[in-house]
Amino acid sequence: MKKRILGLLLSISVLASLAIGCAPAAAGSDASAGGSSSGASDGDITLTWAVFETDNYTAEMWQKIIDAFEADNPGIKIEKVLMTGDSRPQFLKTMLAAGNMPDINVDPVDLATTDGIYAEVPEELLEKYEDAAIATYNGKHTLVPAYKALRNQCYYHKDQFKEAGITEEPKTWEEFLDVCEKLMDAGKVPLMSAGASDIWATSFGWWTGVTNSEIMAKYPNFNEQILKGELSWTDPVIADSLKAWQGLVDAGYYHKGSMSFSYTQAQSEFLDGATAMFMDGAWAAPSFDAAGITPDELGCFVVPTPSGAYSYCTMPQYWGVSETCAHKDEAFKFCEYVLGGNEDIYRLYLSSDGTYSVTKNPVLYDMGPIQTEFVSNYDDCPLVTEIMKAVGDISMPSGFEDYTCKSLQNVFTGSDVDEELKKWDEEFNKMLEAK
Amino acid sequence: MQRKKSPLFVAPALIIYTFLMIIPIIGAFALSFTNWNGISRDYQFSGIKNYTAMFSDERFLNAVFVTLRIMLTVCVSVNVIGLFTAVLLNKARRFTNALRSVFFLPYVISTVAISFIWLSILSYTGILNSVLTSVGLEAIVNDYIGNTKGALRSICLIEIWRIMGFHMVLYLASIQTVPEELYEACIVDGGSGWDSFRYVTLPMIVPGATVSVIMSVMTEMKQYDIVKVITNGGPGYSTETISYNIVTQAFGNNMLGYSSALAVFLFVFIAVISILQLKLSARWEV
Repeated sequence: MKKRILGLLLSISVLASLAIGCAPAAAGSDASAGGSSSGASDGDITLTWAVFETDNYTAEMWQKIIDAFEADNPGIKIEKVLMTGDSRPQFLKTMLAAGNMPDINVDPVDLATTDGIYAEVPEELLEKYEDAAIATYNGKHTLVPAYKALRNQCYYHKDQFKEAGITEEPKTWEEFLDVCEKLMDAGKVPLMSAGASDIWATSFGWWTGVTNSEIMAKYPNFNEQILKGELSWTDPVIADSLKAWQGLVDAGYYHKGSMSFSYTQAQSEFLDGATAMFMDGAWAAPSFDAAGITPDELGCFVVPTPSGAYSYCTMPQYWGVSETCAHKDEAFKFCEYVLGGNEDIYRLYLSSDGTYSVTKNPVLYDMGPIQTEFVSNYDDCPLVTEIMKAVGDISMPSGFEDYTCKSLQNVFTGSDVDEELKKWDEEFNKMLEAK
Repeated sequence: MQRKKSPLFVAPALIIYTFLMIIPIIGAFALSFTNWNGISRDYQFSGIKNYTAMFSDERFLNAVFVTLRIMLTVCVSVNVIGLFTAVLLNKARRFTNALRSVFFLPYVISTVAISFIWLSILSYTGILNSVLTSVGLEAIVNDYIGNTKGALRSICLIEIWRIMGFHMVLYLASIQTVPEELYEACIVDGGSGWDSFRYVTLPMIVPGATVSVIMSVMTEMKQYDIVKVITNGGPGYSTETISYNIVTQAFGNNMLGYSSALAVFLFVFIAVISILQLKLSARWEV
């Protein structure tokens, strides 16, 4: 009988521990695994802030921001939630599903397409930002503009150009092909790309630097038209641009090992001189400057397009305050403080990744020589929408950009361009239906 | 002494299993008939649309094909090599334990860590190509993970290396349970070494082999982590597996209803293969 009672008690204790384990986290619990705002016992408000770390966005940089805000705003504590993994939207979706959505999110664009995830931004806060930076979803403004990022140019080793007898940066498509040919003749590998698990890195340079310009030159309202079904991804403008890219691969201009390099490896190989050119992101320029690389060693130019289209695009970035946040006023106060309210902090945030302010009163910072050259290359270049990164009602369906990056890898490895683009239409319609 | 029986003894395990397995499986099955995007509170019942859609989804069908190729290659390899090394190891006597630990080591190391180690070996400028170049074999230098065929082969190779030790241990444990008298009887009857393996060892280890094969099938049908780290399903979607596809559809494309249908498909697929395997091996058991 005693044993039976003991067994019963043990079973109850297991049940109880399960119930405790499955219960929602109590307010004020450790935010390192996510969690929402809480009122701590000492009266302070604690807000959780989802961020990510890279070589440019370091833990030290985030901590400087937190320390500055807490010093200027006693009573509000910020707890950092590190978004791990290779997909920030996936991380946030998982947190949302688990009921642990952080109060303030960096990179919330993907989730913002769904109504009710983010709180509406107060109008007086939005008034501080450029009109072009305001994103609208079904008439609602749920995102705080954070910055705009230039996309990419072609970086090149000046000594390799010199050795190949190239005296000027290419301005036309024919000149670009001529540069590639001269480099090949001089025994050099013209271009680097990346692959392995960094699917985005294979086509990033070509798509944002060339194809985007060519599409926008012919269809300035491409996103609106493709979303309405007035255009197809099989449009000859897109197909011809991708065939031109495939032509560069077929001609042997790309490094043979490109597809086995991660992005970091590819950049490192390029810097070591494995190739003469690399269509890399704007974020690379400040890191090259910080590494002490000089404009005598490395230059950059806007990649010419086969059709002669000439434009550049920027990627807008935002912050969002979760609808589940218990202290929205304080959360928006934090957004305002970092994103322009404290210019030194905003400057630190922008300069870390080489991005640009979106406040009506521009916040500027001293740029290194390579970044300065990068920016000045766009002096006479018109700005257009980046198709895949457009936000608000003209945004692409969730997952479509990832799909196209994979398909563009197929193009890079020899798949038929027209066949691939037909699949884009099918996938686009499927995802649009889910959106 | 009378043995006491009580259903309470299974209660803890049953409760944990119910919460962590049964309820989520039922939930996924229910969601597979909806168009839920995984985020919004609203979703509609969509009948069997998700199930019919998967059979016209080229990307998913490719994932099924890739998973089957990985499963067949890895299962055959780890079971054949595992059995072979187990037989050899059984003869190693005083080195058996030490060698068993060596072979088993890759299985206990984090899969992600293993993947990064292999990336540094198989990358175009990695260790393997460097060694080949240094010994004058530039002609066979290859981009192992940068093309469809090479990437799939590389994933199979890494997975075979990773789990072979585990299956070897399963076979070794089975071999060590075979009574010595049976081998002695075989020798007395004039049987050769091959005869004792063919007519004594093999029939006696069928239960262990069944476990080994089923476990390798289940592991490979769920293959995700190595693919994620080494190729991220690429180049293109050429190395995407069913599990990779399920995660992408759920959290990348916001199609949780559809991905639930894919998960149910995977569940049924593994169950059918496992049942078939059990039925077949039952015939061979002594």
